Amino acid sequence: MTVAARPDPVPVPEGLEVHVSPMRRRHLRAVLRIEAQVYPRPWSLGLFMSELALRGSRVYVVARVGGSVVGYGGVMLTGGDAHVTTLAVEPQWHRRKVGTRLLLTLARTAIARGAGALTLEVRMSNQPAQELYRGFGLQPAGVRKNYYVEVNEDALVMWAHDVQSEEYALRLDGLEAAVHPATVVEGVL
Amino acid sequence: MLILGIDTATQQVGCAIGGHEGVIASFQCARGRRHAEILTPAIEFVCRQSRLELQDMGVVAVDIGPGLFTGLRVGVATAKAIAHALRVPMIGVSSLDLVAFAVRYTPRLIVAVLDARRGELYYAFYRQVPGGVQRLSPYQIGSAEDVASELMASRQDCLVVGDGALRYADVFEDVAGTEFGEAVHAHPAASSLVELAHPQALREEFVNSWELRPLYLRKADAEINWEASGRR
Repeated sequence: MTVAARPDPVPVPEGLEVHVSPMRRRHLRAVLRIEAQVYPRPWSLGLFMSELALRGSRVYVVARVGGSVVGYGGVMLTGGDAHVTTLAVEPQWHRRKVGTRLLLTLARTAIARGAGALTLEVRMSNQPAQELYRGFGLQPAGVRKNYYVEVNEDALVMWAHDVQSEEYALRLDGLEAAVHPATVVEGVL
Repeated sequence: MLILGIDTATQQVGCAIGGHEGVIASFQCARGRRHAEILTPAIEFVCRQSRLELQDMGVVAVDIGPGLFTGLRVGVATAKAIAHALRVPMIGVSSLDLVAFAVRYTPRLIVAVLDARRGELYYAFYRQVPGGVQRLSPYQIGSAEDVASELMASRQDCLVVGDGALRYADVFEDVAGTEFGEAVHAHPAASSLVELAHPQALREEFVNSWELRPLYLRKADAEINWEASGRR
């Protein structure tokens, strides 16, 4: 198995702001471009459009730096659980806590909308992502065999329970405190 | 009722006279940006060539933008001054509506796109309806990438028209099903302004000169309003 070399991270000038805002149609071109770079089976335009149309049960956000979309993510809210459907950061912007910022916004929004637990699937081999999720209190809870058929790989299912608790709020505050400069959250999520 | 139309929202300066018989005279110049120097002699020129006096005008119509700040204010201020002096009412029409109106004979989704400078564009979506166009979106400001994304997401054949469409043609041309309006339609036309103002004048949809406001659409305004609403 080959592992693609990661491009060097873009140097971020001191104080450059990352803006997180609701995903809109005007972001979709950049989103699809990133999607094609990071997923072996990228979501289609139609899929993103139909997800965006489900305002009541979905939250999709983008992270932008200087007006350009550098990452995005979404959750599906069902029966008290918040299921992270996608989370991606442009490869050049990896290791810049963009994913942390996105997941923080998604988790907080889901909690505000009444979610009691967070869950997601992640590729077994995607260690950096699993590390990020562990930071958010997500624990391995099972395996879905051959979930990613396009790469013939299993998915690790992760869960974080009791996200409405005081303790979890403190955990999120801790994660946020480690992110510099602070994320600018725009728009009603 | 005769209508004097004034348009200075983009780098083009234009004025026209029209009424129930259509457009009687029009002038436009897209060269240079000395709006203040060109506009007044141009108004005098169209009046003289059509053998009319300024006093014959019953309405002053003006392009209220969005557009280039300085130019826009020249036209709006001149139009207000004339309307005030003649004691006639005014009609304000958006630059984007004018650009879309000029290409109303297409079944495609019409996207009017004007250059806002600083890498930004003013844009709005329209579709053809009997006798004109209907606006489908609010007036927006965004990057060429934003507009291209919206074109793609519309999943319809589009006609992108306006100086912004031509300036960022390289960004829009890789969106499938996109066609470009020609350079002749790149700026709002004063003749379109007079044509669009006429039915409004018949319906007496006027504003007073002291009530007319330009449509600046600056992002800063949106942010100020956002913060003022206390929703952050």
